Amino acid sequence: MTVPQSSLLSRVAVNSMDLALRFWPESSRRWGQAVLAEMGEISEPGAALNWAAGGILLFFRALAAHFLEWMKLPAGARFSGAGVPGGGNGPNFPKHSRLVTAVILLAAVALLFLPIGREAATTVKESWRGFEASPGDRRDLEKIAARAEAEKDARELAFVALSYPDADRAMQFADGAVALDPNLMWIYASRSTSQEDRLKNPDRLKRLKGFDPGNATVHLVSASVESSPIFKRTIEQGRGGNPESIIEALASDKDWREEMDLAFLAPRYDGYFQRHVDLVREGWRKNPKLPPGLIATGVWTHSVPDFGNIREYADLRVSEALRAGAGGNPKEAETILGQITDFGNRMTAGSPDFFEHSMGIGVKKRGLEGFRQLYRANGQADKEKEIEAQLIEIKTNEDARVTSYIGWRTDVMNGFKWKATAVQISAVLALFLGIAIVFSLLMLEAGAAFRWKASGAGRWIACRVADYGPVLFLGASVFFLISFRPLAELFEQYRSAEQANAEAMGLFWRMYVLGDANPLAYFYNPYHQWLIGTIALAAIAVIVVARGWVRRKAIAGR
Amino acid sequence: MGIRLRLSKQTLALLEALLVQPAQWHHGYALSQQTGLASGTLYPILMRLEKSSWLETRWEDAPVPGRPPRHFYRLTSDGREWAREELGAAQESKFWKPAHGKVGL
Repeated sequence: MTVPQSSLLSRVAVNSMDLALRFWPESSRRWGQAVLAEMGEISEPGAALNWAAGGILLFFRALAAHFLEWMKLPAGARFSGAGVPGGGNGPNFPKHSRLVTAVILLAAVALLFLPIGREAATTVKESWRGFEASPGDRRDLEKIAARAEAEKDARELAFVALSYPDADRAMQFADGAVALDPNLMWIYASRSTSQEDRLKNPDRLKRLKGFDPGNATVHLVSASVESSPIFKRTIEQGRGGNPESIIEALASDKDWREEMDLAFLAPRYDGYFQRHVDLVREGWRKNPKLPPGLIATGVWTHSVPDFGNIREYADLRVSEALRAGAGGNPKEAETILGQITDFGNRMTAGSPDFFEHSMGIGVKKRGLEGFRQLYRANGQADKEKEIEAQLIEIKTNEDARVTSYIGWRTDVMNGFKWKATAVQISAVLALFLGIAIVFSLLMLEAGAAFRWKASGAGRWIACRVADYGPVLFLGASVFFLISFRPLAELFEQYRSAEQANAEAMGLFWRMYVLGDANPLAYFYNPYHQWLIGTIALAAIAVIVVARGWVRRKAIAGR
Repeated sequence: MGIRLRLSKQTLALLEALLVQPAQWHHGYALSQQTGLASGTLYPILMRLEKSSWLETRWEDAPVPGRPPRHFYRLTSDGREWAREELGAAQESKFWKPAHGKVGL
């Protein structure tokens, strides 16, 4: 029954109390009614509003008290008689109150919201999708780029250019970075893009060559742009498998030849790997919340020269040298072969990157092989032996280097295997427990709200999950963070630049192992999906048949 | 005996008001006017007193037509005794000064 009031303020006051009464908890509703009943005695509108304000305050206190009382009941219980756990035929309820469940769950969630927890969750989530950049990662990078543009931070913009997954967009950021600081021109060479992409904008190539003309890398990039259509054409003509036809086609391309000549005669070789790694590291240090997979992408986008070009050019020059030697001009032959081995030496010395280093060795070996053939053809046995000794030494050293690298990589990967498995298992366990808990609590609460069946196997399971799930979830979360800690420390070391490049690469190999240890990968396979689906359907069929048989027996027994 | 309450000055003022005519039933708005307590303060105290069994309540038997029944309050006999003790103690300790002279001791 409402209290009649005339003024607007009084009506507002009465209506507010009326509204509050609709939602007032049953246990204390009469106090709200008492407050409302007094309003008929208050003639002054301001006083009525003041009175109603006190009533609203009382309403919120009642709600809070009611909520606390509700939290003290187990999930799925109500204040009515149904809220009390019953006997054998009564409804099932969890043993713990909602409050206990909520506190444990909040503790677990709080753990996962710690910086290490967020990093762990992000890294594992990334590993589940094969460390591919998500739309969210792209948005983050776009935001960083926008900020960098606004602040005119060229290095930050260059970092985005190196880390952005799409080459076209990355090159736009690179343009922005270079416009702000032309000293960053090297990112045009270092950021991996297809030769077709490089062809789309010849201006970038021209500027790059002007930026660092003494560096072989810029000429190699330019030459690969020239050679790309030649390789393509040769393959399309069905001559792809014949190296001689490729060499022939390349040799006849004046521009390619010119660029390769410049590359092999350039005084320096710098593949910009070190600058690339340093810039990515700096970018991560500034943006530590970026996922590690994106940083790995940033490092892996480093472009290495096209070894096909280098090899073909070296072979072409070796054959020219041998022809010169055979034509009675051994000095010219030696000069050409010397240029090849010198280039190999420069490439090896200027490459901290394992693969570029190996390419340099490969070129040097080709040059030395040319020397060996030249000296053999000229009957210079001593010199031939000397070259053979050099080739053996190079092979021995290279074998040792490769063996050592593979051994180190294997040790790193094997050493991390169990740790990665622990991270993945605890993450998957936490995920499934989280889903099971949410599902169980929703089922229990919805059951209370809609008065669903209060017993049965499903409810029994939901109660047990509500009882033990939160503790297990907390345990899984703690275990997850503990097992992730070694990786988190490595990330931090990487960001703080305390790691050498080799160690940093070890970090990325560990991430590879983490991705490989993903137990969910089993379910990505369509065959496994089919297998699990078939087994599940078969199990359901067996349960249905068995249940029917048991019931039939029970009826027959009566 | 109920739970020992934390007696604030507001509670003491309300007890004093309820003791003015202890046998009579009081309604909320009158108590508010007597004590100067706002409804948001008054009702939680009334609720606590009732929970401690110092206060009895009843609804108006014959409400004014068109209006909801009002809620009335008065101290129980134990409540009156307890209230006098508490008010006396508070007065002696100079924590509280009665609005209507010395409380009916």
